[in-house]
Amino acid sequence: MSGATEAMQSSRRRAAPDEIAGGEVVGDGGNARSTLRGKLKRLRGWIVLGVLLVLAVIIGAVAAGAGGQTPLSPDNAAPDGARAAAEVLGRSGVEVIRAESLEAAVDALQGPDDTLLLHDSNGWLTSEQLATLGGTLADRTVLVEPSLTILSELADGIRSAGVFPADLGGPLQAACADADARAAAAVSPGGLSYRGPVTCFPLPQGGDGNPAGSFATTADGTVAVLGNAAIASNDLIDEHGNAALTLRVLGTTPTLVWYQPTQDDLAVTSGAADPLSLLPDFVDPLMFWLLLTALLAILWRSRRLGPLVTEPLPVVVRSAETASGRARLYQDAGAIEHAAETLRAGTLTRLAAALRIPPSSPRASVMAAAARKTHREYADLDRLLNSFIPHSDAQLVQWSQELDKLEQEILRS
Amino acid sequence: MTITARLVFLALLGVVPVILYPGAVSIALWVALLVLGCAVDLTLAASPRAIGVQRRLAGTVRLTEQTTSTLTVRNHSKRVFRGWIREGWQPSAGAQNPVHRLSVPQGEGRNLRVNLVPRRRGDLSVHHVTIRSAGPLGLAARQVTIPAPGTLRVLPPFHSKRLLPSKLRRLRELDGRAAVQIRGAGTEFDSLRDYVRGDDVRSIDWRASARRRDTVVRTWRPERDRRVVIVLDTSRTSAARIEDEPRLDTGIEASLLLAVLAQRGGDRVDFLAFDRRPRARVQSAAKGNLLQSLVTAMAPLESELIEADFSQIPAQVRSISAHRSLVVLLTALDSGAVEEGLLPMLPSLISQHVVVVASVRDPFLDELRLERSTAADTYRAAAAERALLDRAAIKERLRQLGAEVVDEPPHELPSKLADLYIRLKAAGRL
Repeated sequence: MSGATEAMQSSRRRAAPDEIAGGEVVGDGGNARSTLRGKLKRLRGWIVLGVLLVLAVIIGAVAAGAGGQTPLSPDNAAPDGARAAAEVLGRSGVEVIRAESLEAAVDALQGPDDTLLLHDSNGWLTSEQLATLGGTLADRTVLVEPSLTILSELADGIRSAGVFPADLGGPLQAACADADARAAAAVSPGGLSYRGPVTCFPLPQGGDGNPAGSFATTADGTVAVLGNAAIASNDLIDEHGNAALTLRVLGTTPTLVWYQPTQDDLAVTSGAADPLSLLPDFVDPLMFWLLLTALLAILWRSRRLGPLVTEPLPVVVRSAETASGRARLYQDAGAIEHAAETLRAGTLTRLAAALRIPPSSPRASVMAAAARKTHREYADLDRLLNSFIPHSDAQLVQWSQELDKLEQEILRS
Repeated sequence: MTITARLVFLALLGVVPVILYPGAVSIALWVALLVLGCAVDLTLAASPRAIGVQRRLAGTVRLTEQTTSTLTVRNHSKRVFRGWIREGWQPSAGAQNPVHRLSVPQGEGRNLRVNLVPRRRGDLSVHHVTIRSAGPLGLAARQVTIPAPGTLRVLPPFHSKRLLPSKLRRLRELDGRAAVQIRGAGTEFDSLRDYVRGDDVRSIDWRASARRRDTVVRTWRPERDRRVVIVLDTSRTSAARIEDEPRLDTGIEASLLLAVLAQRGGDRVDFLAFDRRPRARVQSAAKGNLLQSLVTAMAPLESELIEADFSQIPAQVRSISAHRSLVVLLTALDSGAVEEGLLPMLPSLISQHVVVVASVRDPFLDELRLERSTAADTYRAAAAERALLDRAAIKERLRQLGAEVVDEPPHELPSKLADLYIRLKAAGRL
């Protein structure tokens, strides 16, 4: 306490007589809770906006689902997905297992009485990998738009027959003995065509006796080929007999393994190491921690020591503003003569003063006095100071420079 | 609340456990450590609301000089205060060390000195003091901004003070001059002295010489106790910035020099700042130091963005001085404003008083006039020429009406106005 009094006394001694001392101010009249409440109130708009943003992101993520963008995926609710078919199958008592990888598909097919749906539109799987799916692993195999490799490994006796023409008008008729196809009666055209022991939904024009069709099965019916993936899609499944064909082909067994190979299957087989996996374990946590530290640093720097102080700025008026405004008016209006007359008047006024002639005296007397002073030709002076009228910007500039030179000459002499 | 640099560095130290034991556990533990540290600090920090501040401030300071704002900080809380205190001066107050870091034990007080180097004339204000109180660990702090208003009046610099000695010497030389040198209507008789060679024989007082055996001459001194009324125009034309100084500030400089000179010359000085109504007024009858009351009255003057009403000036001058006075109008001689406002009013003023119209001339116009290298330059030269001719015409009309005109660049105006005053005084025209 003694230190405080000492400090007070010394400050009182140092205080100049004209110093103005205000009263002591303690606190801002609030407390921590009211400050917090005020701050929350001020930031309410931002907080609501942030919450809405987070909600939107979460809803978007949920709606998109995992792998939800792949065509014909059982989770994809978009027109090219197959969620409708998967849902109906699920409700009808078929367990739809979505296999994420080759191993998962093989594992899921270990049980009895199962169907494999293989849709590998990008051709990720190699012959060896396809061979592991073959044999008697699945009781029934449905290949959707299979490539040559898949056909040769998994569907003996079915051959690819090219692309369906795009301009087919109506639906394709079953025209075969297969029970599923007959039940469907008609399906949408499109996709690829195949020839097999049993070929259904042939091309209408095919008149050679063994036409290619949109649906083919092997002789024993364990492998079926669906030439048009679109008939199982959400978009087209409710047209013609698409739903009947899809559900009958896929729903004969209690378990359906829905396998769409991805890039990951390729990576495993190619054996190339993922560069990220070569990094030490601590890299990910370290990155996260550094991010957190950066966030703290932002918080530290962003908090100002008190609010900004405003400066009441004075009006700034540039002095020669009116002159430059008038100059632009002259230029825009092309007032060459007027400008020249002004320049001439100014020069004459100053020359009259320099030559000691009354300012109101006529031009002729100024010119006469100037001629005496400079020894220039009177005609030249008359041109500069009296008769010459410039008609273009170039003439004006040149004449005004000559005028200035004359003035300097007389003022210096 | 707020966090400190120490917390950020502690967080950065967390890199070590995260590298040694990668995983969620080390991260969670370190976050818990940081949160705990902050919580401890926030609980144990002295409440910034229990810190009292009291400001002592010199009421006025001249521009270009520096001053100190002394802040007494008293800790009324039960804990030691450690932290930062910032005084929220407006930028043109030129606070050099607004932020102080200090520690005040409970119940004690400390003085902070904030050095101020004002950069503008006028009333500069401080609105608040921000107190940031850190905890014992120095990781987190509580912060509060408390309103503690204060005002510092920054007086005009009066640079032309340096001209004062030379002008005063010239004024003193008027005293005791022989009458012939300054013969005029109103010179006052001062005293008699012995004739010395060189004195004009016409000033010999024969009657006094007859009484004495030596030849005696009369000496004269300028009239005293004349009235000088300085009217400073604060209308929109005074806002124009000429050579990096508004017309208003140049006018203030010139008024100050003239006022001080006239006061030393024995005259009574009144000051009026006017646009459409009086903005400031200093009366010669008032007690106290004239210079002090002048600068205090002039300090808060600002250019108003309105047109001056010159028609009121005669009435205003009459209310200040009923007698014949020297009226100095510090205004702008821009064509337009003068023709409509000043010229119609001037005859009535001139009929009663001696009028001087003083204005700041813009040297930039003379530079513009000479620049003729391109077409745009030439047009600008013509426009500048037009402005100068208009100005010359206005000056001529003012002179014809009987007013004295001083039209000079900013740095010469105070000196030239003082010279004119001395000349008028010498001629006995006051």
